[in-house]
Amino acid sequence: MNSTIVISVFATGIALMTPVLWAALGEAIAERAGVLNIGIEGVMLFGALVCAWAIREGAGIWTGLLLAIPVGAVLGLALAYLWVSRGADQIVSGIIGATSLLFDEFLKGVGVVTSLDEISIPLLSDIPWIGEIVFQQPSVTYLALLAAPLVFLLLNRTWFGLYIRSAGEKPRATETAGLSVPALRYTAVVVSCVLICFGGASLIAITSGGFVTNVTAGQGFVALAIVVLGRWNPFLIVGGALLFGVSQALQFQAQSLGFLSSLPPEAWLSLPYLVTIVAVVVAKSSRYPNACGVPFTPAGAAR
Amino acid sequence: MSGDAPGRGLLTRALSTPDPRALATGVMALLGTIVVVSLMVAALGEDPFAAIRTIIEGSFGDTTAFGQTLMVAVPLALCGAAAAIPFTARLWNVGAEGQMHIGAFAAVAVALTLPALPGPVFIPLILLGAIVAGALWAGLAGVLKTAFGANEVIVTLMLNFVAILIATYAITGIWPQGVAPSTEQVPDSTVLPVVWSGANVSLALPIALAALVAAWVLMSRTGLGLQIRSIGLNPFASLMNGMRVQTVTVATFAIAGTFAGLAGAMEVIGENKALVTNFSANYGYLGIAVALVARLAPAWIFPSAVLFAALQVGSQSLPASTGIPTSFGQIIIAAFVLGLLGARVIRLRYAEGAVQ
Amino acid sequence: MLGITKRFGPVTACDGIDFVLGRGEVHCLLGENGAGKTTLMSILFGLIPPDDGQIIVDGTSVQFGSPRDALNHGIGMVHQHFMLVPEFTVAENVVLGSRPAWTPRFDRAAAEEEVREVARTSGLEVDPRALIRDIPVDVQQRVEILKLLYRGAKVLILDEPTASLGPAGIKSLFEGLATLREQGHSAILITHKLTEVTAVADGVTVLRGGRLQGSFRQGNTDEAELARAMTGGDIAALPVRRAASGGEVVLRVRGLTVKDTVTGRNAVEDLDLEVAAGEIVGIAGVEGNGQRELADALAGVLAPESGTILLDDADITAMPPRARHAAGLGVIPEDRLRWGLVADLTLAENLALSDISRGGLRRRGRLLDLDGMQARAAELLETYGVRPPNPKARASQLSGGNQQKVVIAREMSRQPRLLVAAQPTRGLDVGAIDYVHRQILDMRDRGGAVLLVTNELEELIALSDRIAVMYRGRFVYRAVTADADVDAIAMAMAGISPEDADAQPGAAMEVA
Repeated sequence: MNSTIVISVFATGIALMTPVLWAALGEAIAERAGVLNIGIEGVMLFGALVCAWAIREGAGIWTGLLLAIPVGAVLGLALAYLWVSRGADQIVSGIIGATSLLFDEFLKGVGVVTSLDEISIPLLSDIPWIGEIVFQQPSVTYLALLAAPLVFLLLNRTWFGLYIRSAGEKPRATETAGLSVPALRYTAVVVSCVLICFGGASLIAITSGGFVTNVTAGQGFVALAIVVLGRWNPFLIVGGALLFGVSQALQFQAQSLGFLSSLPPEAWLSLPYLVTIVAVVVAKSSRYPNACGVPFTPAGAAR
Repeated sequence: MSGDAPGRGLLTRALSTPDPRALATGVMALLGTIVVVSLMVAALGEDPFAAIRTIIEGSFGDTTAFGQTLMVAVPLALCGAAAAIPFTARLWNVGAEGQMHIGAFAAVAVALTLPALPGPVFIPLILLGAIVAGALWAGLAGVLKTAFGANEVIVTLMLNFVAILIATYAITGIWPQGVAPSTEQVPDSTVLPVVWSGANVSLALPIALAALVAAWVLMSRTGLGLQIRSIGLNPFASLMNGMRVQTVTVATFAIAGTFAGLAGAMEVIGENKALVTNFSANYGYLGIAVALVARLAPAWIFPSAVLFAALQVGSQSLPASTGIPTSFGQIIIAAFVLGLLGARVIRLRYAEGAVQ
Repeated sequence: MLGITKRFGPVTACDGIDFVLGRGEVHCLLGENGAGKTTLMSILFGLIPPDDGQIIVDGTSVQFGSPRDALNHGIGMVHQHFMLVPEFTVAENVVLGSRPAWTPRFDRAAAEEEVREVARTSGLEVDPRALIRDIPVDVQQRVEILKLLYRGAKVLILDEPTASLGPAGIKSLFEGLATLREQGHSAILITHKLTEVTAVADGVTVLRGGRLQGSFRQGNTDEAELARAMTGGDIAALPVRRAASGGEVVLRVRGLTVKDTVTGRNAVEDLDLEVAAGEIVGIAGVEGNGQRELADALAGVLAPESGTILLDDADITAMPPRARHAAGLGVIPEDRLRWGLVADLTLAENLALSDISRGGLRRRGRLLDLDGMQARAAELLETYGVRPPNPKARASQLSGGNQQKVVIAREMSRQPRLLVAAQPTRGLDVGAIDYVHRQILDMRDRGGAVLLVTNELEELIALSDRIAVMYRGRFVYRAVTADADVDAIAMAMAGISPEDADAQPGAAMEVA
């Protein structure tokens, strides 16, 4: 294996991890607040659809990306209503929401041919290896890498972060401290869905494949696994996302890897999923936030 | 069993599981969904009544349509059981789609590799192969959960994608048939015979119904079924009372896999006569909705499956008679299930503090 | 509070209750379980709205829509089950909710400093940086009080504050309350223990069945009068103890060490224990000193690190619960709704759980014998006086006492050689407590061995033939009940051995 291939695999891997990274960061926020956002796949798909549609209508990639933000917020409100206000089971409704939103035929053939250009960061991109791998990426990738520390600060260095974490660990204590658990969870789910939806849009912006049926191909669920693997810590989540990105990038280089090229393409396509399974198995000691996935009924509400 | 065949009393008892009030709310939710969807159709500039009529006529209008609905209900019902049984134990098997593909793969493998045998021998062998494959594939998720604490939602979902790729490899790599997106055809002796020729309903329907009866017996008449229910409601007390929680967990997944695997096999040796790309119209995922609408009660799974099958089959006639795309059926299903969840018709009980 | 009324469906939890608290007063709210104490206080601190009546603070009528409203008027509550986030530090818990959520920067160091300051001025010492899950129960309680003081509370409501404390913890709590009283704070103690009333209260209000039974001042009443007001009659005498028969050893525990699953520390350390046939051995201790882990390890739901457990000379250390049941073990778990019963299954199913696990109750083939299950359940429910005696009722529909009877019926029906009873009377009313005590004594009289884990001293002394006190996973005191000294037991629970008891009273409290 020569250095060109290695660089290429990692550089492609970083670009490919972008959507999953956005989604995983968003998911981490929701889960920290005690909401298992399994609607993630559907929300990503929505983001991809909106972005592809905007581009097809000639509005440009950035309009498509930005449009995903309000769309994510609206989806977040809808999901929060279902989970927080109606106390619907988060796991089952999330799965239903995600899988029924595949919309199959309805959206078929929204083709897109443009994609975001890579931006070389001056000076940094000249660093051998690292420069080529990290600093010649599309702008959404840089943004995602920037978002990770911001999400970390949000969770650990703001009062809002403190409060939503308490709502995810022991909502009854949050409530007795005079805070509104539903309000905190609503906000967290909306923020979460905005990031996830943006991640879905970035999928279109990066890969230029256009919107095809089920374009996210389980990446939302992969993000769920990455959150567990990254132990709800945005920095570790970057590592988990990179693992996924690289395993996905390998398929593009498989043909140049000689002896491995005899494997059928399906084997390479399944690699990211297998990696994700292994990751979940290895991350066995990870502990979900205590109240994650459990609907909360405020005291004094109708019993 | 001795002389006492399951009579009317037993049937009534089997069907009485969901309480009448929930049933009423469910019907209300269905009507509400119809109203909402009608408004959407009207907003698209189409006639909602025509759309509803099209769906009903397309699914129940004549014998052919009804037969088609029943045949779609078969995989939906089996996948519904594959979701309902683990859900009862609060195990989130969302892998019926993959387990079905593995079942289909096993079925086509058995059918194409064994030497020619007469149908009555060959068909059971094929079904058995698919059942075992489905059970092993689903059991893997159970083992990973019990041995490593791996979250079964993620594992079963990921295994879905892997299973679909394995099935794809069978089509593109192992038994390709020219340019067609399918494997070679299975021998004629393996194809399930038609039992109701007017409606083109094959042996798959009685087999599925028998499987659902078995599911009902399992859940309400066996110790394992009681253990599955008990563990779902309170894993702590179940452990304290001597249950082998881990063994039951793996067994529950494996049992779920048998149902999904059976569904996959019957798609291969049914009308398709081969493993075909995209043979599953998301049956595995829709099975979750089927199970929820049946409120996890085995006796209600088939009626629930027929409802979803009718939507699916009926909406295929939509583009021809109206300007509405087929996928509108999917939207109706999603709106219906989310409506039921929002209306709290479908609520699962958890033991306090039992999160994962 | 005037004429407070609250109904939950057909049940009237509070019926026109008046309640008056003066500034700088420690007031006890006395009553049995279900008397309406907690409901009344939940209304006072804004958790639930009253159906009728009004709350007057400093001469102004107020309405509380949430605990935050109450706190703004200086009223806060410490719940019996602490409302602390185990994964957070002391400081994070104290400041939780003190700023609007949109306040940008959360400065942990500054928060810790503030909490240290409040702790110093109030005399409630804590380490602001410690994680809640790592600190003992009495310190957690201090954190709860600090939370309220930090938010400016003048009135502290404490729900059963002594329930989980040992004698030393109770002493330090009462001292803390005295200090706070001097600083002009008021406190309401919700309790059903008469001794606490006489120890700290300036005033007492007694509730029974949701109605006011009377208000008293310290000095104008005595325990007997309060007891009558609380129970509506005199307290029933505890069952009489019979001399132990001293049979062969049934349970033999050697060098048992069990780790706490959360903290990873040794909850039970190198413990030896024997229980003979026809004997009740009582284990006492302040909550969190390893009694729960000991009971769980014996039940087979928590794997020990090392050591052996022999039941009738059979090594059951590595056995799962199923095999232990077969070997003759019965368990009344501490938390009956978590470990004992499946609330949403029927009584017949609950009674059959253990048999089903061992493959019993089958009929032709592998199908369940449903009729047999019903019949057996009906018989057990009748024998053990469960109300209602309906096998098809769900366990969740029963009262706590009747649920406990179902657990006892199931465990006793296996005719165990050894019964492990953990806090068997917790949360039960007087009648049910008496019933449970009689069942345990019957078991002993029939020649069974009983290991009783309790932190009710009266229960411990009334039932046990031998007593052992656990402190930090070890036995620090053992005695035959007849020779036992209540003061010594109390001190041992606080971790004070008889020798240094005189030298340093309360010293163990500081070692956190």
